[in-house]
Amino acid sequence: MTAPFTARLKGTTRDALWSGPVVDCDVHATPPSLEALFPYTDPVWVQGAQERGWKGPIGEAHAYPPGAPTTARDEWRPEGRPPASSIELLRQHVLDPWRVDAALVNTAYGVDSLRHPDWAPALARAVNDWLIAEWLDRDPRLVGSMVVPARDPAAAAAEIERIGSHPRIVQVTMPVRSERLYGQRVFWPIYEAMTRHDLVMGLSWGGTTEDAPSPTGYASWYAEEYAAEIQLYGAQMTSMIYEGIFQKFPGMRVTMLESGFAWVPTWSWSINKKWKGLRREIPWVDRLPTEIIRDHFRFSIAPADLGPAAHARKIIEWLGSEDLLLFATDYPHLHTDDLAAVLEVMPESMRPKVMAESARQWYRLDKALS
Amino acid sequence: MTTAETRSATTPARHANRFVVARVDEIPPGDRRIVDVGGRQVGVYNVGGRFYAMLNRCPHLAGPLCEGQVVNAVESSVPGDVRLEESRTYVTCPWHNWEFDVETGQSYWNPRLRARPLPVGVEGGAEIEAAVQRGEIDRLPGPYQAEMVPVSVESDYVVLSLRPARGGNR
Ligand code: FES
Repeated sequence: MTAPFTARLKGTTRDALWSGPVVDCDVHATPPSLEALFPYTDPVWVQGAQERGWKGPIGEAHAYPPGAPTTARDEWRPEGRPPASSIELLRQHVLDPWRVDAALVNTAYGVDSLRHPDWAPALARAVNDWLIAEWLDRDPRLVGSMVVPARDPAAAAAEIERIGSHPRIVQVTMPVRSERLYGQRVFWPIYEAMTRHDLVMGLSWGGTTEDAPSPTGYASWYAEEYAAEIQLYGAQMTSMIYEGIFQKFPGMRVTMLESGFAWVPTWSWSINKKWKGLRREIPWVDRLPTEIIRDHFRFSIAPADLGPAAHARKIIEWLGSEDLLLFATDYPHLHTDDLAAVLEVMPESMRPKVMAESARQWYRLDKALS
Repeated sequence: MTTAETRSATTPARHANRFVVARVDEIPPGDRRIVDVGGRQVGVYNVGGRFYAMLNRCPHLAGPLCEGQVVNAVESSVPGDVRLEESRTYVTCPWHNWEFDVETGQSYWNPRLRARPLPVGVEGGAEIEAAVQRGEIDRLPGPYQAEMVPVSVESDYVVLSLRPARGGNR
């Protein structure tokens, strides 16, 4: 059995797997420390952190505990600094071996775990300015996903206003864990700003530790929490569809990052069925949820979580569209998917779309990288 | 070729495929009655003084469509904008709650799917009396039959046709 994991190319080559263009729609960049953000942080918050001895948000560290095997592949764990914390490492681990045309850098930094109404937006600004200066400006292949203080829609919209028209910012990261479901109207200012700047919403793994990892609360174990969080994607997707944000903001596009997609066909059949019988309550939902999903959602393929090939082939067929999936390594996280096997179960006509074309269109990359 | 036409063509006892189903005052506005016509169940509705009829068989999974609720359309373009559209009336199927336009039989989540509407209208007592005598029109069996003749000249009647048609009476 060949085991060329999603981005690790041991035992195979990039060309043996895929000879066409590659767009990696999910690589992570982690600030190595809070201090690394100080040059980009308003001095009042630099002193604030120093006075209080605050070392930074837990956020992603909770979703991916630093020492947990899921956090990073062994060969991607550098000495003395967090994984995915420098552009040199990203080049060495992903950009060069994959010869990517473009990679989308996501910086989940747990901004949302700060409740402070001034500091949280200030931290988001620092992270975004750091992302632009230390990553996007330093490699022409990179586009970025900005962070926002997601629990404060007005402040989030203001940050999108500030930075959203940067040509290389193509997405806004929203953590999948949230106090409220994202279809709700309180979030509309974010979507208004997002769509005005033609940005994608990247619904990303994690979020603040105060918000439950499952729709019914807290898990006891990390393994359980890690497995439970997948349900939040379905809950958020249903909320966004039923609450009508795609009628309110027809330009809205959402990428589900690290969500898997094997569950999507059955979940969408179920919300189709409920809509057929109960649509009087949500009359703005003017077509089948599966059609809305096709127009407004994409799914990164890391993790794939597909099961045996015969089943995987069915799942891909059940998606009912060749356009929904986007290639990703999810660098540096560890997913044990065999990319060769994932490509193998797709119809041949689907592979170039997954590997580059769909992301190129979805994120308007020709414009962003020109 | 529909079942209705087949039946009327091959059953000489049925001179007509038109039936008197009730006196007008027996189905007041907002009410409906399910009648058995030649072995087929038909729901006859009075919506704001106009009569509509449809086969009591849902095009989805053959549920007893006419036993469902009669409701108005709810219209919306964006969340927050919710209007009752009283000019459009739906019958909702009791099995899966799908909505069908009482007038056209059209399903409102899937416009390609239709319940079977049937033409129904109100006709004057005297004409009905004459038509019944000539054998051009049938009465429904049951207690109603005995009652019909004596009152016929003073009442109007709801007359159903099994001739398939799109749309209700005008
Ligand atoms: S049988 Fe009528 S809606 Fe299903």
